[in-house]
Amino acid sequence: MEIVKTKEGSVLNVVVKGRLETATAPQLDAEVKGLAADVMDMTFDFSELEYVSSAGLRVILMAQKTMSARKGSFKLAGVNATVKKVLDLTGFSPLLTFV
Amino acid sequence: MDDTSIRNGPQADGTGDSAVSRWWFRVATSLVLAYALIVVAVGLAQHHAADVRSMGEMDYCTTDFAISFNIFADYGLGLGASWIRNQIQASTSTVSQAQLRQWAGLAGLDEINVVAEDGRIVVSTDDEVAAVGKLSGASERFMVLTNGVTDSYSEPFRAGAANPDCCRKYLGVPFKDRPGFLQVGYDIRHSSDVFTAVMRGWTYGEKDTGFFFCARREGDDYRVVMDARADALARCPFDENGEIAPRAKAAHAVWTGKRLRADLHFDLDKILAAIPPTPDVNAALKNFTAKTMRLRFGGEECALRACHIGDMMVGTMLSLSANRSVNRTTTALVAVLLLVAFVAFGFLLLRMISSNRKLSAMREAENRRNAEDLTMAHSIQRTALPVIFPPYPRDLKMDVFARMDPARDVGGDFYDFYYVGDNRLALIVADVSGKGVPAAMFMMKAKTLLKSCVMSMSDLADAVAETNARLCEGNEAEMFVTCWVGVLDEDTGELSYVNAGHNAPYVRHQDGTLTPVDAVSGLFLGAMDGVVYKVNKTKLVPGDLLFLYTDGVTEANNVTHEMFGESRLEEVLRGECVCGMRHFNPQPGKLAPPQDVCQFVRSAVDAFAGSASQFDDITMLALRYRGRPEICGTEESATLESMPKISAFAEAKLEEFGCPHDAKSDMLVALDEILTNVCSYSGSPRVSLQIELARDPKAARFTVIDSGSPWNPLEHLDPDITLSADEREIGGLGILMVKKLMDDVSYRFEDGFNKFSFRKVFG
Repeated sequence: MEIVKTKEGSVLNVVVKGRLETATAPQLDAEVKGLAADVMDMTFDFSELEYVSSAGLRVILMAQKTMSARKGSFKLAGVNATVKKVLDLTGFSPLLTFV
Repeated sequence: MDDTSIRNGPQADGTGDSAVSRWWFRVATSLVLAYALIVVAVGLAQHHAADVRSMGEMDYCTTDFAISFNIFADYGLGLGASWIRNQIQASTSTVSQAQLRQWAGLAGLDEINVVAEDGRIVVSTDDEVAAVGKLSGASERFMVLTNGVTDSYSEPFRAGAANPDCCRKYLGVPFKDRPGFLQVGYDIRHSSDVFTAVMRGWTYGEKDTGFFFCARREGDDYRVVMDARADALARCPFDENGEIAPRAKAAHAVWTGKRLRADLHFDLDKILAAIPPTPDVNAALKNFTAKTMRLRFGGEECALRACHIGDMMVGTMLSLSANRSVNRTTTALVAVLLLVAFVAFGFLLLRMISSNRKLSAMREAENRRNAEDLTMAHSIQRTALPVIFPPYPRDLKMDVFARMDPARDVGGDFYDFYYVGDNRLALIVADVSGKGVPAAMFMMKAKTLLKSCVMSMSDLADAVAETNARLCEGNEAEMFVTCWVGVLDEDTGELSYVNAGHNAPYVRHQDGTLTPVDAVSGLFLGAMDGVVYKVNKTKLVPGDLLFLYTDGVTEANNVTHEMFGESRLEEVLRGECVCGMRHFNPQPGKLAPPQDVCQFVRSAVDAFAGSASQFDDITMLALRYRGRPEICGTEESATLESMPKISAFAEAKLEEFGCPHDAKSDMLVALDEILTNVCSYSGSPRVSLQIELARDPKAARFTVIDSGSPWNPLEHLDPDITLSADEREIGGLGILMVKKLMDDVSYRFEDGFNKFSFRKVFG
């Protein structure tokens, strides 16, 4: 998995490539935990993400909680069908904002 | 008057016809009621009846064994005694103790006493007996041999008064040329060969649900005679004959498999097969009475029956719960026989009733119900055939479908299929002569008998021969049944079959060519007792379709009384045009499901027959053989670090197999979830992945195996996925995803391993 971050002011774009699974999720987890205090608008760009397992969902949930705690916004971009299916069947989709 | 009688004539005939038909409706009603009653009663009584039967048989078998053993011992002692008597009568001098001991050695006897007519011991091989010098105690009963009439007398095995460790049996024969008699004794400890001979072929329990055991009395306890030497079984002499030992081994396996802690060993020096002295069994033996008793043994409900032979206790032990399922077919047979008796009684009763004209109004009312009744009879008969398809949805190796469309409401055809072993599927199609209720009754009998024989006998030809013999018994209606019985080994594709006068099935190969499975094995069943059947063999390759049918297919007539015939059937199966329609035209590269094949044939027959009515039952059974799926696997240490390796292995296999991208992602997600659980929580040092890849339909099954403590993730409740983000917990989501992404998930704990399987179909 590869993570590419682009930060412009308080807007952070995180491109996640490859697979978000048990072996790789800690990488993204570290990014969320070490999130700069000034970020108010975060987007995970999943257009190059193949699939996500529950370890990845955990990070997504944490990102959502973090951003809502600081009254910021959190979005998912470029979600493919496989990932969307997992988000749907675990009941995550209604909690998230897709762009 | 004449005019009236002429007018009344046909009317009277008409009444006669309708009376006959009413009888049949009555019979049908009886059939329905009787069967319903019996099904309910049998359902309720099934366990009880199976247990009673099992326990009755145990009583019989144990007693039978004890009697057989005593008879055998008597016979052996009688032979020995006769031989020694001849030696003594032939010798010119007085017999010495040394001479007697030599003969005892030669005859394998432990004691020989020459007794005078007054009970005095003339000479004995045993110094102590010689010292006493006279018959005493129980031995005094041997004096009956001096009455000039009795030609032999024996006593059962009994512990010696002087030496309780020595359990001896005595037999006496009178001399022919002089007064007095000869008494010979034999110790049970030498009787291993006698036991062996009697026990040869003698074990208890169908399908190895029980076994024979022996225990020896030691003080107040029954201590199992046991020698745990590993070679005890190997030295068992009837091992080579394929009789006792293999079954004993099987019993061993079955019982330990159920964690009964039962163990079975043979020790020929001490004679015996044994169960270890667990407190349960020892207590049971101690309190043992003459009846078969129930006890719980290692959590399993068992029955125990034992009896004494000298200081030995021999008996049978049977797992009731395991035996119940085996007895089910027999109980079903009893139900059918009861049904026949009930219907016969009902028929007799109705004959009497039908003479009562006052009931004619009631009969008319019943006539109106006739159609309804036969429909019920039809549905009852239908439920006797397996109707749930696919019957084995998890079976990747084959797919089977069958249908029986009766010509009248109750048919004489039947089909059946069931497993006779882990990987061996029995397939049956049969056609009973005649139609309607009598044919249906005979069909039920034939189906039940055939199943019970095929399930219980290892040789298919024997099973069919036995069914034939039992169908011939009391077959006064002279009915018969043609049948084709095959057993498919799902792993190898080998198909063993017996064809008893039935239409030859076809094998349709993947390229559309057909091979008739046309070897004939013998006469149809029920016609003549003593017919010998031959087992023929053929082999299916993956992709083959086996098509079984009855003559209702090929003998279907059209309006001009032309028959559908085998050539048209072959055309349909090959996929050619029949009656202007191409019925069988699966997509290229795809194999038609068996259900579709049956439907193709049926619609071709219907198109051919046109408005002509169906006059015979139409029965078809189709089996698609897919073969053993490709299996591969990998094993790694159960750590999060090794997960990518396992995942990469699985991905490579799926890609090689041509798994579509989406399905591959789903499989890999599911694998990630299960591996994460195992690597994080199981405590197992290693984890392995087994992959099964099946074609038609294309499917993959992953099985993740670990040796951690038993843990069934499927037992846990699914998380609430309707909570808001802040209330959400992440636990349990992984399993939920696996369940939702896969077509089939299962967990089992087996041989100390957690085995979690999930499967996805993508073809």
